[in-house]
Amino acid sequence: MTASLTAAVAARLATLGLGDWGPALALAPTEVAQVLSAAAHEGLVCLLGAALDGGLVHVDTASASQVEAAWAEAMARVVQLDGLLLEVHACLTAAGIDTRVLKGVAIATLDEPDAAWRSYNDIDVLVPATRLLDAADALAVRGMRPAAAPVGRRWAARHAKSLTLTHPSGAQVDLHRMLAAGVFGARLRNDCLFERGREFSVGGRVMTALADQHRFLHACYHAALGGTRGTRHQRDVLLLAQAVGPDAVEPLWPEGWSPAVVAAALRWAGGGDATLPPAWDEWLRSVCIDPADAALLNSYGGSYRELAMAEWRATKGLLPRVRFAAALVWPSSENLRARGRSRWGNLRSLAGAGRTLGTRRRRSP
Amino acid sequence: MNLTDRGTDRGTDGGAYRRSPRAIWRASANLLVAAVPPAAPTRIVGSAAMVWNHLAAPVGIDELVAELAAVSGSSAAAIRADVESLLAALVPLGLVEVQA
Repeated sequence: MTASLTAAVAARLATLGLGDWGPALALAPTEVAQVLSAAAHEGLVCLLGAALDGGLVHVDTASASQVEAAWAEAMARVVQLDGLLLEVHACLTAAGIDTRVLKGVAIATLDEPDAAWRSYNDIDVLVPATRLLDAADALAVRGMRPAAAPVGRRWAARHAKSLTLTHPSGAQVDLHRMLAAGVFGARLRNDCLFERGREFSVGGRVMTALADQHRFLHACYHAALGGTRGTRHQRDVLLLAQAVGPDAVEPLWPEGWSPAVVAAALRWAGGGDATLPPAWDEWLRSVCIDPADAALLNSYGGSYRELAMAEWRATKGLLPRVRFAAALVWPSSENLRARGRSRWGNLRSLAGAGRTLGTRRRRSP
Repeated sequence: MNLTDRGTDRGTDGGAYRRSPRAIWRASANLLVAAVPPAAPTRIVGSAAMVWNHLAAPVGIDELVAELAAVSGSSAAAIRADVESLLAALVPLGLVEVQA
């Protein structure tokens, strides 16, 4: 099976349950194996299993057994992660920290036709912007430790998008204070995300996800700015674009959301076999994109250093700029150890990067 | 919760079954994966998922078997032993609660 054929199957699976499927898809054993070996973030295993259950894909008996086994693995994984989420939620609630459950189980429960169609590989929880370290400290008592120490605790509290914690089981918990890294993330008013929400239940415990509009916007931000993106991220945008129209999103721009990011995500997700709802097609034809935002979007395709430079340039005031840069130039010893770098090696690397950026800027028109 | 107070239909043995509200689960047509944390997930292949779907609300064994027979097109007598066997496996795991 060629990569393009894998992509063609993935494109079909991204639209499962979202419209007319068309004729059933017949896959050869090698094609099934290729889909099953796709990266976990693509989320193809569950979608292929569901399509098989629905008679929308035909495979031979041996391949069907392989799909079922892989789907069972994915289901067991999310059941375990949901169990961990219960522990995280109880711990943060006991510490008096408000939460919004992001992505994974929230999308599976609230947006997918069936929760078994959505896989995920970690837990994502948003906390109020000022409570990131409190939340990390509360979870540390339960044995959840940072996967890599932040460049500095104060810097993380002011600027980090998230902290990744590792549970003793090996599962990861992404503790977010922002929904996106860099300037687009920093622009968003975190407190707005806590003014409303959508309740759902995990193991009998009521939790709160982002409100419908915010889940749509977050899906767009993740698809356009998240770095890694695949079928699962495309499907999240498509699912939520069906549930949330432009009329519900337009009033939220003052919260700091960027139409440029939403447009980029919709144009990407709506390509290929996918169809956007007519209201979003119309919106895309009429939306005015801020050229500065369009340029900023490009910085998200580069390295973390370029992203940080863009955020540093957007930071207003001398002291905030110094504070932002200081921890990156002089990170904590723990952070250097986690990255396998010496203090001087890090400084040499930064100096080299500075020269490269300076040269590139002088050359650019 | 007292299931009797909710007017639950009870089976011949007087027990009413329902899935535990604390259970976390996913199901396909042919597979059930469920756990009551912190226990590890249990995987059951076959018609367990169909039985599980009928345990959302408390139900007596007679009514459960009759519902499943209607859905599967089998006779109640033919499936009763399998259903009882499945429930007997799920109850000790805490996945299904039984109210005497």
